[in-house]
Amino acid sequence: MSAALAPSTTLSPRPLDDDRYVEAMKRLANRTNLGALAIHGLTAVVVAATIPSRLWVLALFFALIPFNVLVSARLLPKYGPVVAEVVRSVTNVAVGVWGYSLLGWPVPVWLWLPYCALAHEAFHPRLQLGTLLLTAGVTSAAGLLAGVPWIYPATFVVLAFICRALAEGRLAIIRDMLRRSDEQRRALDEAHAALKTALEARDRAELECRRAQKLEAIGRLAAGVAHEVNTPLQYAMSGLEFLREAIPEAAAGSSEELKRDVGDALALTMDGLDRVSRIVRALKQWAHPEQSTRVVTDLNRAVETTLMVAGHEYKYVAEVQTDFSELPPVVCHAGEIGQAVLNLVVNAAHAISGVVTGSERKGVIGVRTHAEQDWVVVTISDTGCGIDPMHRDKVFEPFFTTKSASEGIGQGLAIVHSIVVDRHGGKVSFDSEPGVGTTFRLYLPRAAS
Amino acid sequence: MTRILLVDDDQWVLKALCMGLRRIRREWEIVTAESGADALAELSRGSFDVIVSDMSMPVMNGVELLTRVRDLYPAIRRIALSGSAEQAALDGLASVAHELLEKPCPLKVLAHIIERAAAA
Repeated sequence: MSAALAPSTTLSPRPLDDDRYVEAMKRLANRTNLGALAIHGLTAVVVAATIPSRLWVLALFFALIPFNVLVSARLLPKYGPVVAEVVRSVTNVAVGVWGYSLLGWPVPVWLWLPYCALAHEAFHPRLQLGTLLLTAGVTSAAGLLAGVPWIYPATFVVLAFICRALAEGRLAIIRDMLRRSDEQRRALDEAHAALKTALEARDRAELECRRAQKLEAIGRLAAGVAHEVNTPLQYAMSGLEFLREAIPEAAAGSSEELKRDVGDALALTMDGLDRVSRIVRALKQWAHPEQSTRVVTDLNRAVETTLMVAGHEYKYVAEVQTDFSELPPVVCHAGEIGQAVLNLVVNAAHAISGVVTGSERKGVIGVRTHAEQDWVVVTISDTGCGIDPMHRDKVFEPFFTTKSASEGIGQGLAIVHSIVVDRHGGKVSFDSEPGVGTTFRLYLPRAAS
Repeated sequence: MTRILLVDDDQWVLKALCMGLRRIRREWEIVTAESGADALAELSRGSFDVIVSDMSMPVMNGVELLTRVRDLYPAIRRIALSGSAEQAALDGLASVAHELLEKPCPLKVLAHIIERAAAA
């Protein structure tokens, strides 16, 4: 998986997307213009009304700055830039002239210069440069005519071009930021796409694994069931064969021994058929391999039938001790839970088999169910060889196995984890002590009442 | 008199086969054993003509038992009676069993095979 993601971490720089840049600049210009329009429209009104106090005019200018920011951030008039440019040019000249006559220096124009220089760089730079020159020229000329010292207009013109240069620098930074954010976004998109592909691949692999394991489980069951069914069929059929011969003789009146044998043969036959029918009933649970919806399930029964069909796996190496508590209903895919329990029982049998093979001893597989707060818990313990502490962290990994190839492909516990955790929102935990045994606990959320 | 040893870990199978075979051939002497170890003990106590063994048994399975019988008592005819046709179980059988029968096997067929084996 890490290999699949690796290519996305080395990204080649991509050319800036011009359309996006122009769009961003238009938005910036719109906001700036709206702000400038608001400031200068109001300023023009205020100055035109010739408020006698110079301090009030200054206060108003500064008070309008936060207002301008607020307005700029929220409104984007559709035709703002062009209208703003016209109104601003007019008001600018007025403000410049009246500023000189009132204050003796061009404060309003200076305040506005950074906006002015920044605004239309991307949108219509020639118009912007024109209005800048016009503003600077007319204001300076008005100042000179009004008799202000020449240093004021000169300073104004120099500042205007410094502001413009600064604005261009600012624009370069913005352009660079946009390019970088663009690259980062692309990198993020690519990483996201790679991750999505990897996750899809993982989901597919997991699905295939689950199918493969299901097939393995079915194969295992088929072999076990064949044996489990054939044995009782053998003695049921033998019993019937015996009866076919013996009944006429018994009816004609015969020895006590024959009558006893007839009774035995009937018992054998009935027991055999009963065993077969129980196995077939248990198998029905496995007959819905791909249930798409969860159903309310009697978990005790699901576990019990699984133990019955899995009998072939453990009966020679272990006794099964069950302890079923009364359980609330559980909403689950019964077949899948059965498969998880089967996997754990088969593992338990293998673990025990490693310990008892070659001896007359048998191990114990404990199967317990109980309710615990919001969970219904299935506990499967064994007296087998235990899990080596160095393997603890790996047991749920797909394809991790310590068994030989003929015994397993390392999917059992990975499937248990997938079924319980991913498919049912449950939990799986285990304790293990080498040489003593292992206990697995499956926690399934109980059905909402 | 033909002596037959039936080996199966399921006592119901033993009972049914024993009862049925005795009815078909009253002259046969049939001995039963519930495990490989029991079977070897019976073999050491007396001579047999035919052994019919289940394949899937705890501790010592059918293949292991018949292999021991082949090595220790080569004159005894060996018949495997298997509950499942698992390839792994059958692989080792060809060299150790004279006949392979699958459960459920009709009594008359079993009797016929035993008879033929005993006559061989």
